[in-house]
Amino acid sequence: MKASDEAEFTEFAAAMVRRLRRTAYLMCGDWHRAEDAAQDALVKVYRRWHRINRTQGLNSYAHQCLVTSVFDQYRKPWRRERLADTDDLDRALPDPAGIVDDRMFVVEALAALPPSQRACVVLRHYSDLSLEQTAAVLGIGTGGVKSQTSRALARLRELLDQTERSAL
Amino acid sequence: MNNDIEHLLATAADDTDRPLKTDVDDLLVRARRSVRRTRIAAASTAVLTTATIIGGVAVWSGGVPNTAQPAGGPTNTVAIDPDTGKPIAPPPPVSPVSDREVIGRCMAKETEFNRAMHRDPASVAGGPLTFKWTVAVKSSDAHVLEAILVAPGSGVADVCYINSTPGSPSWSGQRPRLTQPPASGTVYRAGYIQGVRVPSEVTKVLVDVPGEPQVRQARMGADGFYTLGVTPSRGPGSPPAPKTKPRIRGYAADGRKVLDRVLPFIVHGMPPVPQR
Repeated sequence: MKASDEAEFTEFAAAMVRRLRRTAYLMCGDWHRAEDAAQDALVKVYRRWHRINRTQGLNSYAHQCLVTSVFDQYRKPWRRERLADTDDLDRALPDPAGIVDDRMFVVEALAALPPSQRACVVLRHYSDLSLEQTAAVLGIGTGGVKSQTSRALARLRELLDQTERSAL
Repeated sequence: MNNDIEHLLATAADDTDRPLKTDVDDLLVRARRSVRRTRIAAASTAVLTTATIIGGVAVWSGGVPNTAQPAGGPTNTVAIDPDTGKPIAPPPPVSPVSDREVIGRCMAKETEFNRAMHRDPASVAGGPLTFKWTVAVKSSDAHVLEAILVAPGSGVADVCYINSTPGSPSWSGQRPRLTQPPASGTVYRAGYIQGVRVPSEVTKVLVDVPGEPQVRQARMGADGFYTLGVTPSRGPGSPPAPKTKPRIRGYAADGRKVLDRVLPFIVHGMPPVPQR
């Protein structure tokens, strides 16, 4: 890759890495895995840097790589193992403001959704991707994105309502 | 309508208390390494594929040496001779004896003979055999080696026959002079089914022996020589050899018939017909 392209990529990676990590976290519920997925996605972007339409397709392609990386993690057996460390520790610690608990409720509610619904709701309502971009990222039609997002939102509200009621 | 969800998602993804461990420079190094690995893998795959193809071709054509065997390799399908309607038997197998060993064996026998007969090697047409001679065609079995060796300059051939059958070993070495064969070929050795030298444009020779149910295909050598295999030694008590006048046909590479003649002499003894 030319030095100018590398400089452009470095700038892009620096700007995107946090955003991608947060998106991945909402989809997988684990900050370490989210960071790995964000790195994997950026490496994939680097590999196709000259072939990507950088004016329109860069953001979508980065998200597509991210979703693929997160889904790939589920397929790796060692990734399916959940250690009872950080997440459970966060919950066990007293949180006077209740912010951490609220965050965890949302992440747990997201985790209860099927992966494709979770991806739809995160891409549409957190990453601000359009209907068409989300469809392209997930490789499904816009109708599929609409229906999956709708079902995901309904289920998410239901889960969060239940959580709030049980927390009272 | 979905602002509440968007707010909740944004809050859940808040990473202010989660410092980023990713260093962009390290990421760049990792990405470069990934690209390098892909290129190396692609290059290795290309090399392996090429090697596999070359290896496959080598295995497929194994057993067909590159000396004295220009055309007419064996095939798995039964070909029918359109002239006679008979099936064509495959050419005889390739002799596993190397050209250098063939020359060496023939040289040793000739030297032995010259010494026993007090013959001056220089007095023989073409002079003594040396490793500068080339093997035009060869065939062998467990005991018999037959070869035509051509002198440098191609003016003289040495028809070398070594029979090492226990109890009845024999050797013969004839030195026919070679001239450019006409379209009908040149008989350089009368009484032998492979004693005709065909024009150089002939790449396939078919021999039809009267009474045989198939047509024999010769294995072509260099300089217009061909072989139908080793004629087995005829020891005492062997049944009498059929006495026939075979028909020989020669075809050019484009399929054109160049030569078609019945041998003007009776052939004594015939090599066995190779089995498919």
